[in-house]
Amino acid sequence: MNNTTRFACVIGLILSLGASAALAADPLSDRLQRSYELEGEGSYAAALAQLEGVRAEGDGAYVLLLRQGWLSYLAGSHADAVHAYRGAISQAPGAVEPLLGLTLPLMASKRWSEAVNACDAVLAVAPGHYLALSRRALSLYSQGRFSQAAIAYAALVQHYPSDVDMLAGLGWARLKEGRSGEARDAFSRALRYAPNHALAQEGLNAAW
Amino acid sequence: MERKRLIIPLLAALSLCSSAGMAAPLVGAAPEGASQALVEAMDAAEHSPEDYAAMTALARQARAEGHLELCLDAWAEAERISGGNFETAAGQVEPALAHGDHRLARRAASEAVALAPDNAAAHLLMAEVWYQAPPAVPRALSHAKWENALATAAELRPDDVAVQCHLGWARLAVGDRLGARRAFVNAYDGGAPCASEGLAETEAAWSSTGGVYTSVLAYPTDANLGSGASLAATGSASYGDLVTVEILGRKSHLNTFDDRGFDAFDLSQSELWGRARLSHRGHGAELLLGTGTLTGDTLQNASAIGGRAWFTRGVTLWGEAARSTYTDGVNTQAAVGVSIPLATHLRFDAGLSRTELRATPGMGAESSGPHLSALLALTATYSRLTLSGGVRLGEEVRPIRLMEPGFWNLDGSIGSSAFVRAAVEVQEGARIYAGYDLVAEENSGLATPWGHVVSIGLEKTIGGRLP
Repeated sequence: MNNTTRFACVIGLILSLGASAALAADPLSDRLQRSYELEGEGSYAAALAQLEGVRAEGDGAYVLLLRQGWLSYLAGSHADAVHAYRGAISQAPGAVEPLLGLTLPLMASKRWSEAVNACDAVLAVAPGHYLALSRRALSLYSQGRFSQAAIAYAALVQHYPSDVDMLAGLGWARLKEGRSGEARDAFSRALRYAPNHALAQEGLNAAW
Repeated sequence: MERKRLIIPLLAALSLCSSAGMAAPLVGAAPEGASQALVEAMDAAEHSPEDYAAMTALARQARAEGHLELCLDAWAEAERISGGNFETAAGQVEPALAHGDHRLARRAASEAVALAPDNAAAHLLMAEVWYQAPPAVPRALSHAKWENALATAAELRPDDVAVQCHLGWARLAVGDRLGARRAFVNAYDGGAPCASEGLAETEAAWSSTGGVYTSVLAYPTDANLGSGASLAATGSASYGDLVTVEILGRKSHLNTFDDRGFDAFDLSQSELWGRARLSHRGHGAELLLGTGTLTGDTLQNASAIGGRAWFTRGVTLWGEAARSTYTDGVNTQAAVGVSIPLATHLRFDAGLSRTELRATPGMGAESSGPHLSALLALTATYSRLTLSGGVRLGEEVRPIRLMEPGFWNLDGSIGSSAFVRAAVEVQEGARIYAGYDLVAEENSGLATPWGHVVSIGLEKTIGGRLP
């Protein structure tokens, strides 16, 4: 190695070390990293605590709120999760992920109308989004709006014909609508692809 | 047990046309004796007021524990949350019936049928609603609706033998013995234990009925007519309730006075009537033939032919016509009417008849009519007792009463009349009749032109299937 080369390596090393030092010095990154580790250990409350008091702006503020929403949801603090996700949505109005995240605590707290609205908001930004469609269908079903749920499940089945969970959902919605014949068709289809699908089997038994 | 509180919307009953935001909350308390499971279900419903599953679970738990009001409130709330669906409609029917709210049960069942017309369960619920119809609903109507709902359910679920059995009993109730038999046979072929009793019940068999009736009649204010009596005997044979042939013979006697008040000739009348009737599902037709010898100041022969048909769809519409031929003239009559069930035990009958006598020249009679007469009657049935009463308003000439055939061979026309009847089944197949008729002699010139007829009778049916 000649001197020029050696110098360049030293400079590179210095720059690299400098960059690491700069990242390590960002409290948001550090806290986020620690929260990932604690989440991995299942310590959701502790992970959430890591983010308390952190000040961030711009993208950082958005990520912080998104992360708080997720961890609050995992910790079972659904109201906090909703609050955090709504904050994230206001930070990034066109983003899909906070809207999608918002559906989770809403569904967990059985706020089905709001969950449907959140799913609709996702679909407005990302039409055909599978998770939004499936959560919307489940939310409608959970409200007892079986006709609408059946339409939603049928649309999903059209796009994902082998999705046995959606087939089972379609079957149950049809069954609750009193349309036993169509329910049996859906359950039978699901059981053809997944013979041990418990929900489909239970539905088929109920449909007779 | 600690009393729990639950938010139940006040407007739940109007939930079909309400939105979630319109419901006014009503704070309710857990019923006395509520189980832990019910309390938990109430907690869940209170915590998640928008959760349909929580509300239906509460409804079911409340029903299981016999808390019908709470159950119905929860179903109504589930209906509000969901906007109404087949499950909320169907779910309300049974508890509403158990609670005695037939109107709600009927609304819910109608809704279930409307939402899932191809679902046999919906029609079975409707059948149950009509089967449990309150007494204020005429039985003819409720039975017809019951049978209709079951027939639809049986069409949708042809292999369900239990439905066939229910259908058999419903058809029997509406007078469709043949249809009932078919349903029970279907059930039997499907291996249903419930079919045996129905098959035995619908086994067609001949029955025979015999009866004797006697009447005393008097015209106390008529200077020329005195008093008299009649004796009648009937015999009939029926095949199930499909075919009936009947024969009736009557001998009547009435003494008369001349213008000075002395005994004059006796009016004597011998009649023989035959009837053949076909009936099915409340519809039917019959043919009536009669002949008679009428002895008074002259000898007359009389004959009559008449027919009657009826059709039932909720109410029974009937029509009849008869022609009777006497030595001194020919009488024609026609009538139409309706029989309306007002309630389970009460029926109203109305009819309008037209009678006309065309005298044979030179035989002493005068042509009369056409005359119109209206019939209004009420019949009440309770257990083994039947009471009826009615009036005939207007004028008639020599009418043939097809239900109680006889030659009313009076020279003049008869005016308004009133009657009461009573029949009681004193033992299975044995009935006693009693009746009183008050008949006005039209154009008699009498201040009180009334004739009185008191009748009693006894009938006994042997064999066949007794009603």
